[in-house]
Amino acid sequence: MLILAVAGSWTPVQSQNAALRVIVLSVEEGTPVAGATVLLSIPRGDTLYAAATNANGFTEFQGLPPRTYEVHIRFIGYRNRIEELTLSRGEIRVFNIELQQSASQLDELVIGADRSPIQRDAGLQVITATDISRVPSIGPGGDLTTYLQNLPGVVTTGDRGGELYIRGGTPIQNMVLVDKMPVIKPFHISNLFSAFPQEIISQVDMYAGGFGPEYTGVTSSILDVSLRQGNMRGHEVKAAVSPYITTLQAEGPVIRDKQSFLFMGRYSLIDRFGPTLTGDDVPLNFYDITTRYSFNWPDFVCNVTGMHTTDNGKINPLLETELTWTNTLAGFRCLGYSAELRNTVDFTMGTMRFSSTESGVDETKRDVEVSKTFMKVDNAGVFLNHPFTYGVRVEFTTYTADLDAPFADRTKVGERFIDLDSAFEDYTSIFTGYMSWKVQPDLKWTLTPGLATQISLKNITPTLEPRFRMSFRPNGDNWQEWSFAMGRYVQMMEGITDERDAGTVFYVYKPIGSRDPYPVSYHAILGYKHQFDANLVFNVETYAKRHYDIPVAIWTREPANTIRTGRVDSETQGLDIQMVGDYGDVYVSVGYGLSEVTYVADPKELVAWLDVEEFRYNPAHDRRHQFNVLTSLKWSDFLFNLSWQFASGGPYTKIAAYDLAVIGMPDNNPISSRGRVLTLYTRPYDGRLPSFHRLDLSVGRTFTFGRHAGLETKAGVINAYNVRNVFYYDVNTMQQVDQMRLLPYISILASFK
Amino acid sequence: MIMKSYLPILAMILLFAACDARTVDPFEKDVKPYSVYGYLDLDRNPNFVRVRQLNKPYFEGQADSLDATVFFENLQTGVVTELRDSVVIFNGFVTNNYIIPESLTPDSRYKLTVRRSDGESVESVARIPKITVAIVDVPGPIACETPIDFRFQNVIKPEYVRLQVGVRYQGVFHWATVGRVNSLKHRDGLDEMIVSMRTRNLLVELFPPPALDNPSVDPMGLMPTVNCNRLDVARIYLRYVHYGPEWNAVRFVTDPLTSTSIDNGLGFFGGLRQDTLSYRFSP
Repeated sequence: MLILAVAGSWTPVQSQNAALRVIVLSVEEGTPVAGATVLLSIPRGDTLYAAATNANGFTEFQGLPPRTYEVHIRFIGYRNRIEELTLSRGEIRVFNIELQQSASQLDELVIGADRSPIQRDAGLQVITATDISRVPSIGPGGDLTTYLQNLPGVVTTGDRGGELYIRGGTPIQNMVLVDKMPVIKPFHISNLFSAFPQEIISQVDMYAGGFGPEYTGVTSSILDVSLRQGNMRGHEVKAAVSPYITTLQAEGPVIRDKQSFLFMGRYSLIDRFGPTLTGDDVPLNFYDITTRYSFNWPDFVCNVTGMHTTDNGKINPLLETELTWTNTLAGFRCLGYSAELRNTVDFTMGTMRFSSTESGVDETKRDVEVSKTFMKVDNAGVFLNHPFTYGVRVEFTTYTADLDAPFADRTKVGERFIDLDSAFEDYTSIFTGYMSWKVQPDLKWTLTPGLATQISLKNITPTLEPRFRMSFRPNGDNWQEWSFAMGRYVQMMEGITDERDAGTVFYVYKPIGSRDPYPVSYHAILGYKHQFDANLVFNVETYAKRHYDIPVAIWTREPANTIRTGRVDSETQGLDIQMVGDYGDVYVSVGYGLSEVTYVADPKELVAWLDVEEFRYNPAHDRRHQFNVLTSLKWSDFLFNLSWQFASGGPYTKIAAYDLAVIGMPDNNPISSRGRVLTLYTRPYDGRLPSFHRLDLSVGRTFTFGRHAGLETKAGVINAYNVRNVFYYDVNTMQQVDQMRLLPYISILASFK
Repeated sequence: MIMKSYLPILAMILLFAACDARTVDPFEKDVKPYSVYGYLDLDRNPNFVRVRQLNKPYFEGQADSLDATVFFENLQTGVVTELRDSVVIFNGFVTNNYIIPESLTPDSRYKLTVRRSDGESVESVARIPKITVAIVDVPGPIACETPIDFRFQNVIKPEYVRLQVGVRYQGVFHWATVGRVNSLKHRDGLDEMIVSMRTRNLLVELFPPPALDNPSVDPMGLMPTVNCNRLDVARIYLRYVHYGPEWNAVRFVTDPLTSTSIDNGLGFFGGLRQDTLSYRFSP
């Protein structure tokens, strides 16, 4: 199937229409410019076609009538380019163009609706490194995770644990990709950091729902992170330090304009200096390393990526439970766009390994591991003069778990769970195919139907996953746009934890059992964007998701963790509103999210001790209201950033009793036997935590020393008014665990070119 | 103009910062006030009952802070006694055990009430069974293979008897619960439980051969790994517990989650009597 997919690209061109493949690079670095707007118009006339470049700086126009076109390329911070070219019948032209950075703001303002301050489209939000840099971060530069937490619909259960919930989807239902390669847990144990610092990001496509058929394997959301290439024309080294993290970055050409490398390494210091600055114990430690080697050949671009993350620490400093997880990822992605190829070919191959350990007292621990090898081919062609993409993916995954049962007797404070069942080893082989057709009858309408299917060797029955995306621009331009997306999504993997206890982020990963139904979801999203002028845009989106057969660990009345699962359905609906004003020196984003997540279960499956016919509850990531304000102000040489977040408190499970049960009377007597420690929950998620709100501030200034050296300084504070935000209530230590209080920082970044 | 647009934002921020409850109350409102664990042994004096306030973490000082008054009532006479607390600490876990000094009488009911200062209370009633008449019923001298009927009278359903057999072997006393070879059963229409066994069968309970786990084998035909003639002394001890009616629902394990013994609370409270008898036999 792979050979056929590639061979299908090498067919002599017979079509009447032409195709134009545009690659946009930066003059200064020779690297791709992602997100650049490319317009094809009649010379000095109306715009006929519009597109944006992807992470490879690439975009393609197919089915073009042969004629002369004016090509306009625009991107914020760069000088606009206009070129004229003539396409003949059946020609495929590869058009390389370079943009030069602009020191003048005039070029930035003459953009119009082609470049909006935000790029959103029915569940999709495109995030750039510039967006990320606006959020105060306790390290040098910005981090993707802090930006995501400012978006309506994105929820964390606290500032530790590395868990993100997106529009009702749990971490297991969300997929994170790095250059199309899956990574399981890239958010660090401190939720202020992830494996994606601003400096290495080219572009992030966040699908909060309604994603197309090219993404399969999860039922809720996709976070598709594209890394940038290393500088192809100049070497650069950056070193930075703050009380919480130290970083080293290096990049440069190996062969000018043809091969380059990029290295980013970060190591946390938060456990060493956090106690001094905050007065609280912060037993969190992590590091990450990202490397990239890029090849830019004529008509072909390849990127080899390696990534490793390690996290270690205690979510509750008083609890003798330590969590550790690692991600290791290696692979390459190549895009072939030669004029001799009828269809472009995008090939990805790699391997990934994730391991996680939860350990307690007396050398007891549990381990899980997931290893995956994958290969993916995407082709882009034409069908009835409209772009048609299709592809296949093969992945082989092994799951192992060693779940000791060390806590049979909860005699010590700090012991956590009781009686995990067993060890297991399992594997899956999954084949995926998809196709998608993008129909643009005119400038007003874009219709993209698609279909995906997955086949597991353990269950030969293929899944059927239709998808549909649509956009309507009433005036044929981007000043107003209605967008819609819907689809069916199937998942073949589950991750199990006791979701009542926010203090645990240890999941047992396993394939869906051969006798169990696959979790399935249905999405529907409707959005409207209104751009008032080149700088001010309003976006509103309403959505609904229905999930079926979500595996949830069976609960007992006691805090317990078992890999036996029951099934629940979930209903998620909500509304996201965002207004963004980008005036160059001033940036303001205000967002509001209203949502409700409800799980519905058969009580016999999940909560056998409750005498109800149907068990409905709001899980821990149900946040009814969210409000976010993000501002960035450039004044003189200083850059001021402010971020304020508010979220309704999430549900939690209250305690029914702390008991010492004298079991086994009369052999055990109350006067001579302590009894068994028994902590009992009530009805799950019956309480609501207090609301969360936090103000983060930062001010930065950059100094340059000649052409080759620079110094970026930043000072700021997280949780500026030192509010006490609840993380969770730990039933083992019987204490409220709070999120971080006031966290001051300074950071210095030195760069050398 | 920019600062004017910031003012409403700052005002909202300060408003939220001003006042909001920032602590979690982990307990549900309607948590049961107490758990009660204990039993009334007719042949013991005093008896003890454990009372615990369920919304108190384990390591807070319970001794001075247990908000409870415990009453013990003889339902036959109507006499009510307020019980005294005895604090026992097990490795930092503070427990409150109330002393029941009253001499108990068989075939009687007693009510335990634990009352909180706000009036919330739990209560439970336990019944002391009638005096058990234990009979080792055998027509003549007892040998190892002599069939014996072990009868326990005045056991009124749902009361029941648990029987343990003990012997002295190699200087050590060995005990085992009777039930794998044969088990006590109520006789139809009578307030009596009976089990028919030989001394050899009782030794199989104590020293079981591997075949005892084989469901195809009649356990009554098995030989113990330690025979009658190898015991230190040719005497069989029988320790029995006669459980009152409250025990039937939970049998040998008290499960606080399923027990309905305590009204408005968790735990278990019941009555029993226990005794030991023995007989000699010819090896």
